[in-house]
Amino acid sequence: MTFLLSVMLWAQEVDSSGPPAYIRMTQDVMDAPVHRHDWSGPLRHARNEAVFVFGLMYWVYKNFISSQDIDSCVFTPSCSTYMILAIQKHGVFIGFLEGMDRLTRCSPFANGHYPINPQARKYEDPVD
Amino acid sequence: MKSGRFLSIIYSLLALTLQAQDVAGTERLADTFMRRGQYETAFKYYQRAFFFASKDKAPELYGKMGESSLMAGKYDFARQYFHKAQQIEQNDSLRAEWFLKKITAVVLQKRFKLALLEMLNYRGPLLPHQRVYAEYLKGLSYFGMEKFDLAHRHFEAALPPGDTLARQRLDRLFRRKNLMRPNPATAKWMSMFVPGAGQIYAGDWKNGLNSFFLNGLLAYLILRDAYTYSFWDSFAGIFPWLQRYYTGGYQRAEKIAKQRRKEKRARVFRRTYDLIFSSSANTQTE
Amino acid sequence: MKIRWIRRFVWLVLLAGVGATAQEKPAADSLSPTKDSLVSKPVKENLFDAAHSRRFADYLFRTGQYDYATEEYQRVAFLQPADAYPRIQIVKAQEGKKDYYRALGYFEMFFPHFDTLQVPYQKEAVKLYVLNGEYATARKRLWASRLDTVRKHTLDLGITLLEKKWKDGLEQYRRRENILRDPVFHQFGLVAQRRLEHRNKSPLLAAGLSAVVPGLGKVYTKDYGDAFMSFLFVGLNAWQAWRGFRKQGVRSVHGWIFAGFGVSFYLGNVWGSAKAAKRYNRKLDKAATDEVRAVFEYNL
Repeated sequence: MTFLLSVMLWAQEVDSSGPPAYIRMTQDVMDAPVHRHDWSGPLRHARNEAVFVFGLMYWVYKNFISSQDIDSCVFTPSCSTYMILAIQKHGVFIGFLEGMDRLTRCSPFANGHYPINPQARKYEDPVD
Repeated sequence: MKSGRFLSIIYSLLALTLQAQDVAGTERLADTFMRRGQYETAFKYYQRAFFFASKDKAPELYGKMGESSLMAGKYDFARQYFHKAQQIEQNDSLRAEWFLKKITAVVLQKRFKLALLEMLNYRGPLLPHQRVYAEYLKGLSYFGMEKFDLAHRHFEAALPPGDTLARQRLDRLFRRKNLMRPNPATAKWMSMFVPGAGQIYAGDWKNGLNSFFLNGLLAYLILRDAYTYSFWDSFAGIFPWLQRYYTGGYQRAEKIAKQRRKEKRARVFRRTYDLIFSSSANTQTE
Repeated sequence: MKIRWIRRFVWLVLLAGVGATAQEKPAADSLSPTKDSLVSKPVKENLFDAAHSRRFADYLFRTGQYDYATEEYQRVAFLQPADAYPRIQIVKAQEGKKDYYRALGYFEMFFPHFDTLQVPYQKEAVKLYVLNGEYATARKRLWASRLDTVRKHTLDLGITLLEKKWKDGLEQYRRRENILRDPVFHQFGLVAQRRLEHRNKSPLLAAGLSAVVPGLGKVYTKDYGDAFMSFLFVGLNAWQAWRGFRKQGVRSVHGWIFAGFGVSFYLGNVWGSAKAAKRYNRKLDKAATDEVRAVFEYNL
């Protein structure tokens, strides 16, 4: 029975060829993966035409303008993302107002009023 | 795939009822999981074996716990387990084995300086295939610290002694062109003079043209506003934006060049790995 | 690729073989000690029995490996169904992971009859209901339990505070302030007092103030930096719009763009002031409830 079992288990095992696995793991130590962002989410999931227009503006802004900017927003998510999320959540008018308010809050005075997100090294201020 | 997993569960249960009763059986079961690539489960069973085993089994089980955590991607645990195994192991060659695996875990955490420090302080004897791997690890650490001459030397020492062809290939891989270009400082200065030029130099046409046209548009708006209204109007209204995107442009150029250079270096490193471990003399590394 | 097919073939053969042997197995006469039976039944210690598993599970629990510990305790619970220890340990392992939802699920599954439970288990149940936000059930269970009366009053006060009924809480505290000697009771009383020292800000008033002077609502909610910024944003945009309109009349593109921004910032600031007031109140509430919740979480 033990023999049978061991043969069965052999039939399940992973192929192994070349150097051992822990050595094979070292070959991608130097890799530098790039984070490719896709900004078309709000565009594709727009509820109505007005949200679609804002989604399009967001897509253009993120791809061609924000991508050339210095990293100046003090919050995560950034102000543009905040506005589009708010528009998705509360509709065009209220969402737009929330976004404008967020722009005025995005200044060095935010210091001390918000919790810090250690990964992004920014103040955390999600849409609510 | 799904049926395979289902069957493996059934057989692991079977194995559980039949053989894994004592320490040796538990360890064997864990070995099986390890060979099948179920590292988390293997770790659990090694831990169980370790908990009930006698003292003399400790180094081996520490090592195996280290191996399973290493394969599961928990490098910090792996490093600590290998370190313990190395400290209490009596057999010289096994101690070297645990040591090299510990360094592997450190290197996978990208703590190259620490890895090098430990390697240079190690005084134990090494078997031939261990020496090859040790040289490779030293080369890797120097490579990670961007000391490419030293990395080159150690990688060369890891190649099989008579293989001149591999040596020539290594020399070709380690030319300056492959490791130092594109230069981030050059990219930055180019973008300072002509917005977008640095990005194009680094090979990123999309961002290069984007930056060029954006800055061009803003400059045009400034001139137009200064003409229709006044210099101060355009200075207060639009100049801050130009300054932002101009600064952003050359900062991004530097970043892009750095990223491209990193990718190139990663390619060089992968080829070096292939050279060392695909050459026939080095395949029996264990 | 080839080796995979060979393995599949081996699988098939072996499965067929196992099926065949299972059928033709004769009834074993266990009285005759053959050589075979001696080999196949060696006396080994069994690491997977209840006692071993329990020791190992305790070790896993102590070292914070709560997922593994849960599995081990489940084995022990299966092997010793009469023992409550492994089951309460499973619940505690979920608490160790701060997964109170699952902890409550396990608890309700393992201990369905609340009235028959021992006092520490009843306390555990109350704690889990509170941490899951089910305050009504928690209060019902609390008064149905066999905890001593002082503790009951204390925890009841805690639940009232977690429901954010600060005034009720303070009243509840004043009524028994001189009778009860529980330090936690007095701590809760202080929390209620401290919360009521700060008055809530009215969102409506904040919005109104900002509608009159941009930024004034944020001065009211004590966000002075934001107030300054909104005043600056609205003011600068309005000024630029005015300049544009003055030079070129209503045909001024410059004027319309800045007017648009100015109005947007103005309305955004009115909305944002109301939100700032709400956030101000929420912050005060959170500071108070966090203190109460910490008592339930770690000090019960």
